[in-house]
Amino acid sequence: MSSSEEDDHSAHGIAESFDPPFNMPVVFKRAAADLSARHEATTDDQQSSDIPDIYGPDEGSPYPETEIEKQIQSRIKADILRSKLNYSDPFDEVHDRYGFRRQTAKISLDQYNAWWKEYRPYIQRRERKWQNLMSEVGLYHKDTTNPPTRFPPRSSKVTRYIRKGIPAAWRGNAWFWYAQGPQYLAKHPGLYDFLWKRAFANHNRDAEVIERDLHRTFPDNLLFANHNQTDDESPMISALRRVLLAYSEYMPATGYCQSLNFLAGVFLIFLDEEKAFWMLVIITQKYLPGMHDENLEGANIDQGVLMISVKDTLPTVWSKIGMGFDGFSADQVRETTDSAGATSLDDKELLTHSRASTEFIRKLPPITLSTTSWFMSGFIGTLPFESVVRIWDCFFYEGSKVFFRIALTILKLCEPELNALSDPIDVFQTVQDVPKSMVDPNYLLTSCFKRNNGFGHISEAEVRARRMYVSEIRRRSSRGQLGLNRNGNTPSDQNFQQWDNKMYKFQKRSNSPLLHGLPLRLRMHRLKLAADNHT
Amino acid sequence: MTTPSTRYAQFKLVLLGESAVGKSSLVHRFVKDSFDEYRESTIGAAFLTQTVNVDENTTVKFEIWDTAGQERYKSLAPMYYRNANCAVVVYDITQAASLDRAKAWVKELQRQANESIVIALAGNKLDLESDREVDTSVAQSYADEAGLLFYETSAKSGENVLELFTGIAKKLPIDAAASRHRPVPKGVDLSKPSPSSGSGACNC
Repeated sequence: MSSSEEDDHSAHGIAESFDPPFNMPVVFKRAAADLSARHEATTDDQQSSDIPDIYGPDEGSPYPETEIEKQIQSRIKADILRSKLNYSDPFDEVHDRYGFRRQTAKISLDQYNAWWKEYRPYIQRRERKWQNLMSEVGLYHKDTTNPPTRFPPRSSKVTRYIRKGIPAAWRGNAWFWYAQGPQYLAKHPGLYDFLWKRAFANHNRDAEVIERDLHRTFPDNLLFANHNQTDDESPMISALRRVLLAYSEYMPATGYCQSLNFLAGVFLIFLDEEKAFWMLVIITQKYLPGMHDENLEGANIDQGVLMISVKDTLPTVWSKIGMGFDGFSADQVRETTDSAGATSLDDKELLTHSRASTEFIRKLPPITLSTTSWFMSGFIGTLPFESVVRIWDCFFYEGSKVFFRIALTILKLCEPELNALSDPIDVFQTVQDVPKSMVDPNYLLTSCFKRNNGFGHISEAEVRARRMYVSEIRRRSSRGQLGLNRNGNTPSDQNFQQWDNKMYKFQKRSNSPLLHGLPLRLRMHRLKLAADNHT
Repeated sequence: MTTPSTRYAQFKLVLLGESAVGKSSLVHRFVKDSFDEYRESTIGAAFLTQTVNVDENTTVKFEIWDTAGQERYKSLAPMYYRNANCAVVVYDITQAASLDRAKAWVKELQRQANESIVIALAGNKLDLESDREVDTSVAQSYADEAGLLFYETSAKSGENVLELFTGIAKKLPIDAAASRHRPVPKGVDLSKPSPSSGSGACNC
């Protein structure tokens, strides 16, 4: 997220004409008015279509007060539970400082402890550095016990500090700050409470699928595990239920998507549930747009972008993972086409060429069955937890390019093992298993951000350009219009024009060197060539 | 251990079905012979392998894609079953609606997947007999009608899990497939899942 990005949450103001449903408590009136304002927001507000119409005649039905009271009690209990984390010392001999089991399927207790012995002095050193930095800018005082809620503006020094890890006790607030959470919260006071209460009262349509996943979210974590002594669920599970229900209520077009449970779960470890809710909204709307939507097309697009980037920067890895189930590679298809002599920029040949060379974007290679979850869950379950939160430190500060860079780094680090393999089965296994054993986040992040690493310096603008490119190819493909139409002609100019308009808008915003100053057809061609690593 | 097999083949197997019916738990029981009451939701897909001996001199290695159950992950499904040799479609015997979802999967597989695909229907959570919503006879007659193998299983107790996978192995064209695969490393005792060949069942 660059600081220059347009502010898409400027105030809409409260609609004057809004008439609240009867017998609503004041806080709900305010929240409902807020919803109403969003409902009437201009069409360029991408969330406007998601805003439910809550002013139907049945809206006045009373809330089940006893249930609401129970939920409010459990919210207090969840806050108490979270406050027991000091984020510095491990819970006990078996669990880490976040309540997760130290030992996992791929990391032994000994391996973990050996790493932690080295890592602990490191984080203590980083904490002191952060305290000094924050004191210098007047955002931290040694006598205060509460973690800071404001953080310094972007600078190369702050970038460096963030890449080396935010102190765990400050982490949640820092994510929230850099993701512009305070603006969302200030603009929608009370909305979170309104939403979960409404979900309880009206029986949210995702309630059942959410319920199925609650106990399948971090069952090994002490905060989320059921209390042994009683049948009561953990207050963190109740909090997770409220957050996911509120999200589904707020974003009915997206609704609940498996993997949001894990994202929300991590937010709940570091933030109170209202902020956790807003982080979930922000990550799905701003950082990973469309990724969790009904058709997961955003996830497919990002996989296309990742595959292009691998092809571009890690050709050896690509030769291993670009394979289909039957051992065919997209490269072979392209080479066949190339040898047929498609050298001119004649429309037909350009499109024939592009069809073959973009095969892997339209029909993603099977490896993406593994890598899709990397993005959807923000590497939860893929990497050890400490690595996940260190990546998220950078992600909320720098933007979604971080996920691509980390994905490329993981694949790069798999390269030596992959080189020895020929069977696609072993390739899947390696790509799935190796990241789980990467115990040291410093090694991963240093590999990712070091200079001249030969890959991974993908910028936020490039991510946007490539997302558009992939999206367009897939969109045309799904309508059966990629390549030649029934009469052997090229697709209508209108299609080109639509795409060009989008690209033009993008170019104006980003000033992408990829497209600068080229005529339409050449611009398309350049993009395709960039994708094919021909540049 | 048995003597080395003379016939060996690899097959791709995909697990499909509604979320929380126990797909991952079934695979985990098959591959690791263990069970956890709460298993993390599968996001995208998880990949595992396991080898079984069909008879004294025949070994089959399954390359298993365990998939996410939520409806919207369906858009990834063609990638799962592209070139799959066999499929296990799972429902939960305590959730009648999950059988409907299983039927939809079967229909899609029969329409879109390989013509020769072997499909098994598995009614899981047999250990929760008292909560049963789907009668065995109902599911059995549907399976017969649709030409599916049918098992009722319990990932928790292990009942019928190995039978399910060996049942599928016996239906696969082993001789036709055998030539294109690498030689067998070693045999595996059919009476219990091999501890050595599986890996990475969970997402953590």
